[in-house]
Amino acid sequence: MTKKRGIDQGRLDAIRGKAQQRTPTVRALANFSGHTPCPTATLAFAAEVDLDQLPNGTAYEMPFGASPYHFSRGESFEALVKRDRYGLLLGLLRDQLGFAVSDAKVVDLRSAYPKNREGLRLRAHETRRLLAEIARKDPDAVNLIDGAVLSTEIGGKPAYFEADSLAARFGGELHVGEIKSFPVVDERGDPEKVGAALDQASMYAHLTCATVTEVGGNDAIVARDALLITPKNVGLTPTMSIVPIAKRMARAARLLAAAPDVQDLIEQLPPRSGFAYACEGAGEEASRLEAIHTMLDAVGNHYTPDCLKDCGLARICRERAFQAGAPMLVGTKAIRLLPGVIGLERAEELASGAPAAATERAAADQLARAERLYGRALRAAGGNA
Amino acid sequence: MASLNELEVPSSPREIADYALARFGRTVDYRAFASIRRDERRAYDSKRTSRNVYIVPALEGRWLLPARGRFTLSEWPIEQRLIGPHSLRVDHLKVAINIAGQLAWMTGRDAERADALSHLLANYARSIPGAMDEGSTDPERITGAARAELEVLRGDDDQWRAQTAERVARLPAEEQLWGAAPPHLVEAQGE
Amino acid sequence: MLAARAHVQGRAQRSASLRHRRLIEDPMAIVFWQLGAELFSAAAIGYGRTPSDLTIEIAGDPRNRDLAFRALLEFAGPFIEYFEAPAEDRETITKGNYSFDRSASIPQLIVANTGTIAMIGNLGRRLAYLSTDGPYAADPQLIRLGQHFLFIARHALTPGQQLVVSMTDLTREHWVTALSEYEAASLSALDAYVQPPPGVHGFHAATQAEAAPVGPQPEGEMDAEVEPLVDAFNEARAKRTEPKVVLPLLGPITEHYTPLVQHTFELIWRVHERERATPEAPSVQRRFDVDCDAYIRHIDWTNTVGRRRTRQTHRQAAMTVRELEEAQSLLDAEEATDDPVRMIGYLLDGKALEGEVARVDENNREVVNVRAVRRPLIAVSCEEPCRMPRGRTLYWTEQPQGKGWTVEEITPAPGGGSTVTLKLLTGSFNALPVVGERACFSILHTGTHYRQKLPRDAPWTHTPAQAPEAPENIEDSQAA
Repeated sequence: MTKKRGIDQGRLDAIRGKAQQRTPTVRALANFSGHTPCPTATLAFAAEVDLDQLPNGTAYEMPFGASPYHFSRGESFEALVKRDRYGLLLGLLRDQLGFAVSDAKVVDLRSAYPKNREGLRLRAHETRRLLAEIARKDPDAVNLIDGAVLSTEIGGKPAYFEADSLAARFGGELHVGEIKSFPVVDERGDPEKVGAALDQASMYAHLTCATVTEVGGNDAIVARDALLITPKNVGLTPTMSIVPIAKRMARAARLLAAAPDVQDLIEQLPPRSGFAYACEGAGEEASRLEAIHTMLDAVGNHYTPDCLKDCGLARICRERAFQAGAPMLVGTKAIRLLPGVIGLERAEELASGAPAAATERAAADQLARAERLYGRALRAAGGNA
Repeated sequence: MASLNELEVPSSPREIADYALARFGRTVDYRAFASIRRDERRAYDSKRTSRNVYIVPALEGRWLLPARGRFTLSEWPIEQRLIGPHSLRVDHLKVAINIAGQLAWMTGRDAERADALSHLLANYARSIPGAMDEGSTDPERITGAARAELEVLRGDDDQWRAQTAERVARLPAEEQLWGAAPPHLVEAQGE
Repeated sequence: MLAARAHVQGRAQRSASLRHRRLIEDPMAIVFWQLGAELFSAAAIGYGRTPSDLTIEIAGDPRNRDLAFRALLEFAGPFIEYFEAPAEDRETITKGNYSFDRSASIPQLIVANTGTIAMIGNLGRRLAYLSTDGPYAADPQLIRLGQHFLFIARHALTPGQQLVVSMTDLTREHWVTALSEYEAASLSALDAYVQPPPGVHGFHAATQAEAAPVGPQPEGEMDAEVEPLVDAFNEARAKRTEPKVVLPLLGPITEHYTPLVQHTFELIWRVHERERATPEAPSVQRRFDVDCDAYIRHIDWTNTVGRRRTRQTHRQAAMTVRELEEAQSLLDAEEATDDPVRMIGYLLDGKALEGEVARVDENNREVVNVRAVRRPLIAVSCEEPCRMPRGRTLYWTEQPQGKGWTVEEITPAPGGGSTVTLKLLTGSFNALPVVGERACFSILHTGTHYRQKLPRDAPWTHTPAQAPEAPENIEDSQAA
């Protein structure tokens, strides 16, 4: 923290305008953490803009519609885990983590607080207090917090995040719990889904560490294992797995720290530009796309093919990469193979023998050799066939 | 209301509906609870009605906010309408004991109702250590196990409820039933 | 280089001059669609043995076990018949003192992508261990379908196998596009890049095409569209699951899935036809024999034992990782020695050399263990400088299973190339390179003599204390 400036919240609100807002969950944060090198994604995150919805109604709309079956399955599974006034969850904690019968103090931070920003602030405040009690091993400390709200700074802007459950045995470690409804069969789940769930849990554990430290505790009480609660087999019977997440936690911390300074980004944006001018209802498709390009030009982007998985602007950024012939279009491997080469078109020129600049020489040699060999191999194959 | 009266602890629409079905064979659409808080509040505010019992939200946590989806009866003592750190588990045990009592009484009177209650009780007993070891639903055994666990938790819970009830008693009468307004946090970092 | 060219020319470039998988006369194409979070059941199943013969089975609401199983059972009959038929035609092969059966051919499933293969595995896992008695007794046909599916999904881990061929992977084996890994996972996009409409750049053809999902996982608004249909269906059937109640109600759901299944089905056959036109590589035959052996073992096992462990023992795990690695390197070696385009990477990395044979000394002799023996020498003149160390053992791509050659001498030639002298490490040989022809030598060897066997019994340190448990039925005991 070298510079400490305020964030111009008024300007940030104006930049957002009427663009769809994103709900501040740890899932969204974990998602965003894959995009911290991207200034536009960071700006959108700070302005709480839901990028997924931004290009709706344009040719670049992303097909991110979530299946209602995912949603309802998730809802009913979560309700099941918390059934019997958390009895089932406490049972799992007793069986798997050695919780005592007296470790049954549960705080539900979801049910009573208003469902708005003010509610989030109150819950964050209460979460801090409860974590402080756990950190100093207070006999009154609770054992299970459902719906904790943690806060962190993204590029200098404070933000709140809602998460699943936190569990602590009296005097023992504090575990983060993540409830997911994908099935686990023979102790295996879909690797991509498990990975995403663990990334989320790691983000959550990282924020918990930060909060515990802030309230004067030692973050060693936060376990480097996450509790993953999933249905066993084809049914919905909950099962709990304890999974190490130390590496992912370190990665989460690194990614968050990589986000560019939000106030800088705000200042780079020309007046009368921002998500406000790009969202649905802000005008014709052409002018909306123009507004998006203006933003991308002003603050910059960082397209990688992985963006297509979860960023709403990905198709626009991909088109830009295509127009520029950026090697990143093909992926990070192409970047490694073409050091010093500015674009795919240039690579093709070098392959066909264009004179190479000094910085291009290494790549150019390989390209020209590949070209010769490919031509010869095709001729040889043609002769065979 | 009859169900809530017998459950004797703050309960969710689902819990109330499950109980009503098992105990009285009555189907309650728990989606109807969505508007119950507003309706009850309107009835309370209206001067014309002279009911003496309302369905009111449980009061939860440090700031005594009204809990969504956890209902109580206004005639219960304040202590019974609170939800503190121990209360969720304690309430669960109390309900289990209540249902076990109902089941013992119903057995031999109404086989169908007894069977339904027995199923419900089995669900409640699942998370109580030592309650279901035989695999069968034995009300006496479950009561014993629930009492044993309750013994461990009850002291702290009662103490918290008594202290908190004193705070509630100092609130305006209306807030004593319907919950306090959320406090305003003063924007100050590093408290 | 090829990706750059694909970008500039706007269409995919071939990365192989031959086809490295067998595509048999009579495959069966299979298409699945699932509901969002339901990984262990199929909402729609499409299958057919020719491009014009598509049959579609619709579950209705696959979350209901009876309905999901009903649709699978409809599919199980024709599938089992197709899958088991090749086992009838078999011969007994004797090697040394043991003999085994090998079928003349295999059944071959052609599918869109690895997602479909994963789904075959999931369905197999669910069905293979169903109980055959009790209140939820399952039809033996379903269990048999499950056993076949489980086998197919496991065999699919073997590099180069051909029992189930993903058209996405097949295309990516043989073509290079400027699409990223993630984009190329869509068969629609990939196919569009390989064969864009005239005048359209592959990139734009692919971005257009990627909007058409391939399955089995729903995308975008698909489930939101099907949800009201499923709700209406459930209401109309009023918890009944008998076919005579259910079948007449399936109409709207079938209408929803039919174009989706059709699109994927047509795509599979289109790619299949395109790839079949390329001549097959010689080494495919060996891998085909491996498939035939595995297939017959599985069929015989299904007919006798019928139960299989789900979790591997320690020994199995060690074997599998080892075998997979070996099979992968053998596959890589076979593909590169079969196909000059595949060899390019090795040439670029200095793991192979290629040039015109300048001199052959068939009768060179030298003293080995006091005896003078024949050790032929050849010289190859390469256009490129050779960066290989002396003494390195290489194999002639015409005889990748034969004896090695050592690099004896490297002399720079005018024009930046080099002349490399190689010595054959044996005196007995069938054929040698011919002067004036081009020859390629690489580090790749496809013989099997160097492979050692793991001990048959795991050492005690690797022996689990008890036998692994029998796999469980994964149905929920309270399944509705």
